[in-house]
Amino acid sequence: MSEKYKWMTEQEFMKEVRDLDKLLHDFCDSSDLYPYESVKTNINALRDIIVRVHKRKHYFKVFHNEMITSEYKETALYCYWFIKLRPLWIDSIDVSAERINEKFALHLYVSLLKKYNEDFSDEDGINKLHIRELLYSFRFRDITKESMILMLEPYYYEHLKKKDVMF
Amino acid sequence: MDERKQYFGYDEEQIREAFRNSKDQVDINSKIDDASTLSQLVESSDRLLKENKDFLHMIYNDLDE
Repeated sequence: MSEKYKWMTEQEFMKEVRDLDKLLHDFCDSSDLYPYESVKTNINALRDIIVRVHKRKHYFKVFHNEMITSEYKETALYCYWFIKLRPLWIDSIDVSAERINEKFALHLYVSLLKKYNEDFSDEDGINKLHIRELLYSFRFRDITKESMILMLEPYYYEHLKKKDVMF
Repeated sequence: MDERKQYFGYDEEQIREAFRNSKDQVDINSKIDDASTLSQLVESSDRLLKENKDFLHMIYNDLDE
């Protein structure tokens, strides 16, 4: 059995915060609806998200034969927790304001696909209807951590298949 | 009553054998790159902005209705 859980260090925590902040910047730049300066964050909720993901990675290491969590699983976990804890908000009467966490989760989702499944934006990949379905699901459906992971993992296998045709 | 059947209808030896036969079923999907996941997302998010800005604009702005 692996060692006892070690809390992430402040340095590790700050690294995750910096990266998430950069992702928020990009997300805000790509949308007309959420100026970065207007987005407010519940820092305690954000902290909890980062810690929860870190803890789940340790869980996988302990119970899944020392497995180092894949990028797909980790991104799925971040998506799940942003949707659940809703750390972001923006004061606006615009209906889009209430969907900022779902859309930010979507930004993490498509950023991952851009990294490992670059043809995702082609016709055969994720299309408008699929994205709309994803956003609806993020907002209104009961999504567990495991189902979020399941949603992303087919892309993992697609990536492996492209690397190795015999896979 | 058969005195060997003690737990859930099984005797102790059967229970022990069920335990010995347990197999660990876990998935083996593992990390692809050494860099942290979020740092990889930062890099690809940057490329998304440069190469797919229209797509991003569409999915964040146009799909609410």
